[in-house]
Amino acid sequence: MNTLSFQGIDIVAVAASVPKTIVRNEEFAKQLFPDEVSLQKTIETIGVKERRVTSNLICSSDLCFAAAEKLITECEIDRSEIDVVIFVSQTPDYRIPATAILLQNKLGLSKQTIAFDVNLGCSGYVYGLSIAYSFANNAGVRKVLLLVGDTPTKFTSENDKSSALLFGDAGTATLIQKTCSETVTSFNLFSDGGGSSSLIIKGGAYRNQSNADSFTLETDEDGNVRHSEQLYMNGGEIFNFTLREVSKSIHQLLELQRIEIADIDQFVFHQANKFMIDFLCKKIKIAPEKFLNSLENFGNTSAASIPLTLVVNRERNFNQVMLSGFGVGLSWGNCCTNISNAKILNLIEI
Amino acid sequence: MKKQDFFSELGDYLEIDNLKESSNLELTSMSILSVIALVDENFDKQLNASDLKALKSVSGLMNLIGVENFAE
Repeated sequence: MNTLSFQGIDIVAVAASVPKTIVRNEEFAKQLFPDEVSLQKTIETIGVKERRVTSNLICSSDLCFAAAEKLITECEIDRSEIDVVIFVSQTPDYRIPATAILLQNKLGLSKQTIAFDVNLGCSGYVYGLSIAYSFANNAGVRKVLLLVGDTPTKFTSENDKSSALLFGDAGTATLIQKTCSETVTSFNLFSDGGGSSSLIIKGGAYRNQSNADSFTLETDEDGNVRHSEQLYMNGGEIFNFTLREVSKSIHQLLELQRIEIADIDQFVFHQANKFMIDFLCKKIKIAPEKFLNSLENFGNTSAASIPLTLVVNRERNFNQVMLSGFGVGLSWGNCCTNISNAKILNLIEI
Repeated sequence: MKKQDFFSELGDYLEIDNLKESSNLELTSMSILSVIALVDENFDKQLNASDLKALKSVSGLMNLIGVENFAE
């Protein structure tokens, strides 16, 4: 069974933080794209004009910590009521221990807190929400703090045209709890490890451990230069996967909820790239005004892209939303819920 | 789809003028996305990105889509 359904549990608040440093693609990519026309075309296609980039001193957990502190302070949350902390990221502080446990301590939460990491990227927010709702559904759990952040600029080659202009860094915090509301929240979740090679960092973990050759730069047939501990992305295959699976899975969830496309007030997709999500919207027949994005100023922020997009578009009146995450794994999932009562806090910079 | 309409639409997607069946065609990573979109939209078919990468001509692309999908 890949569907989950809950009633009376809600997202009560969302916060996000980004690093202060802004990288403008037009300037950043001059050397990578000596031809000005080609550079402009690439920026237009991926839809990313500028991105936020962390220094070596800031990790995903720092961005999530800042977002969590803002959420806890502004919403006057009693820290002793946070029973679960989930950190979803592909850029943890260390290989061991899990970053969520470090954050439990840093946030001053009780030792009774359940804390663990989830290693997911583009689908990570939807998966993280489904886990948070599952915990919140238990009588003994009061509040769940979902921390979703990534710093993909740390594992992307600056000399890889397929990814260098795309990614940005961000961290987010979402609070989930029982509210006794009438809201029904549904999820459907999917995996296809057969497509794992389309988006992968092959080196640096335990299948291919770091060694003297790990950082040898290699040039692929497209002229992209990267080493084995940097991201490889086959954009064409990821696009194929998105067209094949995502639209179908959204329709499945709508059927489960017994609602139609027209009943959804806002669609918030993982911010893969402009070309891909524009085409997906066209395929699903989503009215442009219902689609929210954060690509232009923040890029693809991996697992953080959905909550960051909510925060960037916080002036909108959110109601019935469809959240859809898809990508690395391959892994994808959707969440249909109503967030009209959620506090969406303003973006912070650290 | 009529061949001429296909050449015209492919040209629009790739921003190349006067495409014909015998034209050379080498796709970049970005133009592969455009062709995948065009083929999905017009033929409800998905082409393998590595097959597209290996293409050398418009006729090769038509073979991948299936020649039965084209009329004079």
